[in-house]
Amino acid sequence: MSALTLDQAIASLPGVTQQQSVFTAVIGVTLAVAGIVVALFFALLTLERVGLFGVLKAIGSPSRSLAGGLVLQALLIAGGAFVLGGAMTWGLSRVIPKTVPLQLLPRRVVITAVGLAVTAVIGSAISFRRIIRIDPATAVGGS
Amino acid sequence: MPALELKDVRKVYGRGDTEVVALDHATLTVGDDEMVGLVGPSGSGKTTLLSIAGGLLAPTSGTVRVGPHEISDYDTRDLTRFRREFVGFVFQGANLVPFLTAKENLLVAADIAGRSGADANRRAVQLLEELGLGGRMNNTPSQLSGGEKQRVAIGRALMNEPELVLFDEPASALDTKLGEQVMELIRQEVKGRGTAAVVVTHDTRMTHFADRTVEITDGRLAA
Repeated sequence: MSALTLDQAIASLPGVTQQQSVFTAVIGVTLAVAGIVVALFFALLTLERVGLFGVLKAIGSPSRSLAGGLVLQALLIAGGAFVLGGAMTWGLSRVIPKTVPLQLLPRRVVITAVGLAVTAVIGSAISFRRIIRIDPATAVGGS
Repeated sequence: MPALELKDVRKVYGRGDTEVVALDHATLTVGDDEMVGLVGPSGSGKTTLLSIAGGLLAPTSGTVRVGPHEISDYDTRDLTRFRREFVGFVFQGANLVPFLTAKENLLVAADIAGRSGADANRRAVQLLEELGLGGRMNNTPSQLSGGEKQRVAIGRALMNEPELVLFDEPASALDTKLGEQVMELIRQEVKGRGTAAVVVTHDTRMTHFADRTVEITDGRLAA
């Protein structure tokens, strides 16, 4: 017979591992959905600004800096969302009954922040190709 | 040294059966402080000529020289750099950044060229004052009239002290009186700086502002 650590002992209780994997899956799906929302949002934003990007390219802005600006915007929005979401979660943790087991772990917070940042970058990167393909010559001619 | 020299420039769109010759044997020289009007009906190739002169389009054949820069065989990256440093553009519809103020719109041009800072700020203020927009610096395009927007666009084009400024129908969205004011302002600004300019227009009422006028029909130039 070998000794179990506390974590191992808890994980071997019936249902605990399954429960945890459900939570992990929920978090994963949430991040994936966040990524899709960011991608769609910035695809729409880019579509709306095709004319403006064409003009900026015409006056000499490289595609690189336009794409960089887009990523920066996505990161700022993700950062804002993280702060807002964090504050709401913390607020909620103060008002829900003590019987609901809820623990805010620093490690989880960091993982969520990093996950959101990565998701924002990947989501906004979907629009890079469209930005690169905008022809600066479209700025001249038609109104 | 001429500010712009086009030699035997030809531009063909499409290929085979759908081939369209937009410019044919276009040869044009613009002196270093000359203001040239380019007049022609729509579809005559004047937009193509302007785009080639400004490094927005590559010619199918022929040579294009802006000041000392022979741009006919520049690649995309070189052309982008060339545009931000040596030419100024004023587009038909002003095309300002909608969520920035008049002054910020000028600073965008400086920023793209890596010239932000106190000097750029001073220059933007000075240009806007010259253009009669001293009191409108902190207004966004939606708060400006058509003529004011076009004046901001002129300021943006002059921000990086270009050797050549290209105007694409700068007065077409304005009524005659405002259009003439804008043309007069363009003349003052380019003449005051000794900058070369090409002004594309289909409006013959605006041509007397230029030093000389070149007509373009079906892709061919006639002085």
